[in-house]
Amino acid sequence: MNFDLGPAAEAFRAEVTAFLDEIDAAATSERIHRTHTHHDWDVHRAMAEKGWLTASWPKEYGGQERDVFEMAAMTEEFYRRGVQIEGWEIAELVAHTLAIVGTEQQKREVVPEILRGEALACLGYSEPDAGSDVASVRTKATRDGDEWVIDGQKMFTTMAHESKYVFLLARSNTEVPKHKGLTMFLVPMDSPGIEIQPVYTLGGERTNITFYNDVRVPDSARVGDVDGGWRVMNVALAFERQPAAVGYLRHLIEHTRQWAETPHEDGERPIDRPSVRRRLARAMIDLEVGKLLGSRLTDMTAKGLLPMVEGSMGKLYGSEALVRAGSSLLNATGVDGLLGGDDDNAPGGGWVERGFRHSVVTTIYAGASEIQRGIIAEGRLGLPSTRPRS
Amino acid sequence: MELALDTDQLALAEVVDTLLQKHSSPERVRAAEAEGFDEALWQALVELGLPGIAVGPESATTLDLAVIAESAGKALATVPLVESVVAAQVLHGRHEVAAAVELGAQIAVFSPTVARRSTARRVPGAAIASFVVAYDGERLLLADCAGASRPASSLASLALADVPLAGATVLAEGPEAAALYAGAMTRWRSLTAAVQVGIASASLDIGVEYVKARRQFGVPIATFQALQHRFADVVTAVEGARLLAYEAAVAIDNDTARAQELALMAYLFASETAHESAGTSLHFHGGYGYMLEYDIQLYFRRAKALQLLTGDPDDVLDDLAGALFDAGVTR
Repeated sequence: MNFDLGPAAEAFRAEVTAFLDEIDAAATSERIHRTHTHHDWDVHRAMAEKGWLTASWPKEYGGQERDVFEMAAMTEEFYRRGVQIEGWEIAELVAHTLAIVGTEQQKREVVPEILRGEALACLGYSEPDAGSDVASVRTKATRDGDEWVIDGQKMFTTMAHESKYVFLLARSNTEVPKHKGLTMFLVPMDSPGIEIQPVYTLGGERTNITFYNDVRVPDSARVGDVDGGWRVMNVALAFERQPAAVGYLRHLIEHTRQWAETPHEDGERPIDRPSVRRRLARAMIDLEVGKLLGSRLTDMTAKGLLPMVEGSMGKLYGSEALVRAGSSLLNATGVDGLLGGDDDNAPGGGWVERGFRHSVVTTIYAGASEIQRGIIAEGRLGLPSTRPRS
Repeated sequence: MELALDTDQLALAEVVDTLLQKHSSPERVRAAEAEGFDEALWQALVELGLPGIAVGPESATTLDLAVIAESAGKALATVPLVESVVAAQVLHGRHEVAAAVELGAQIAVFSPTVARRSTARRVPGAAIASFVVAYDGERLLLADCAGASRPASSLASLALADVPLAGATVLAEGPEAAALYAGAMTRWRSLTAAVQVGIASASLDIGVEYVKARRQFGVPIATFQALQHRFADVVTAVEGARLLAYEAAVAIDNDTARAQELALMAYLFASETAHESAGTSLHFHGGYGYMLEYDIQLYFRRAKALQLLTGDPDDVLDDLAGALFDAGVTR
């Protein structure tokens, strides 16, 4: 057994670290946080210039063909330094999916446009009445000659206000079981009839509700077959890997530790208090376990295996650990934890208080913990499915 | 990166599992409860090369030993496996008794707590061993177990005993003794973590099998989400604990700076997971889980006993904090 990412990954990590130093990661992180949008065009373009948007992509897309270990090192460093690149993470997921199931035109034009760093794409999955049960979406796509007319409403379309496209799941057929009547579209956000309404969240990030009112797109905007949207979803979901929570946990721990190891006015260091030490040590065990469950995904992917249950385990453990640490480490800061993250005196540069508020979304998005537990119970333990059939 | 065991290690696990199926069946575990030792099982393990396998030029790696320890945990092997392996490592080349110990002819066990007032206390295996290797804060000692006193009863079958250290042979003193003890503790924690992973894993299997068979309200209780979701958390923790125990073992083999903290993390997390897994499975047995006749209680008691061998887990967490934030562990 070998738990290291290897020399190529460590060399690449050094390059990434140098870049993050160059852009003053701490200041960039703070600036991005205050815009409420976890995307920064300057960082994005700088990454494009370095070829890092296509770091893992094949040469035919102008990629650097870096392996999963190098990519793991890169992701780890961006999260460690708190430089939020959520816009890119979502857009790359869409690009990956299009590269597999998109039309020739989408592969030739849209994918390169995203990979050059010129366009973002957001996800139009969730709806007011379709969250965990995403196959029950009601946004309607009606065929009209060579066009489709789209009507409905999408929730949590994060990055919609920065995106050129929305990757939109719609109901094209109401006469068949719910999974069989869905079609996926890549809809330009500047299409007439689209309206974006901002939504502000507990963690400080802006997301959106998007409305689609008689939005007309050509049939060429379709991704995959008519009524074949669920198959496209399954391709896209495979790219929705979740190193995120473990990355946030590391960031939270490092900032809490920095606070704890700095002497206060009375000369005492919080780290010398038993309760603070124990909370941090406990969180660091969770970080190690979360990291290992995440490394297992990297290891399996490198071997050409498709981690399914293992992905759920990594996501479940990392996010639940983040929620525990978010509360426990804020407790460690005592009354100072009451100071909002934007206050200059807030512990750990404000990231402890912010971490607490943000943590709770990670056990919700990309498959809530209850969904992951269901997948694990069925897939690993052979327990009977408890999902309602419809 | 390679997070899977290699073919030799998988073959080793299979050999040990097969041996334990024969020599550490639930019947044998129960038969050995009072004594806390199964002589025939010990002889079978000696034939396999234990505990001498842990020392010398062709010695097994810590990861190999972790694989063996995990199997031992799964089968609740009633022998002081980890304590004898670590004692053999300490004694090798340091005392003439080493040869007999490595051959399994005489049993020496390592005490995982610092001796106070000239007594090594609550030492697992000491009730049936010939020698104990103990550290008293200044000296690393080899004591004869002749004067050992055994409690009238104990939580699990670990053959615990208190061993007086008066007249013991000094193996090392001062900084050398402290370093030897710290290294031995790191190996003990990493291997005991592996035992706990085995206990956690077997407890889970027992519980899952039970809920698939048990029917209430006209259906198998396995169909209830309330059970499924707790088992999903348990299996996730078990797989995480296993990776962590292996990571600690590999860090010891590679002599990396993180070996001590990883062994502490592995021991803490695997113990917590073993207790959680056995407790969850016991609970889902309903009233039957409370009956001595069912095996799950054996796992429940063993998991808690191994968790307590170095004291209150919160104090172990302080040890970890020492390794992470200060110069190292201070007790």
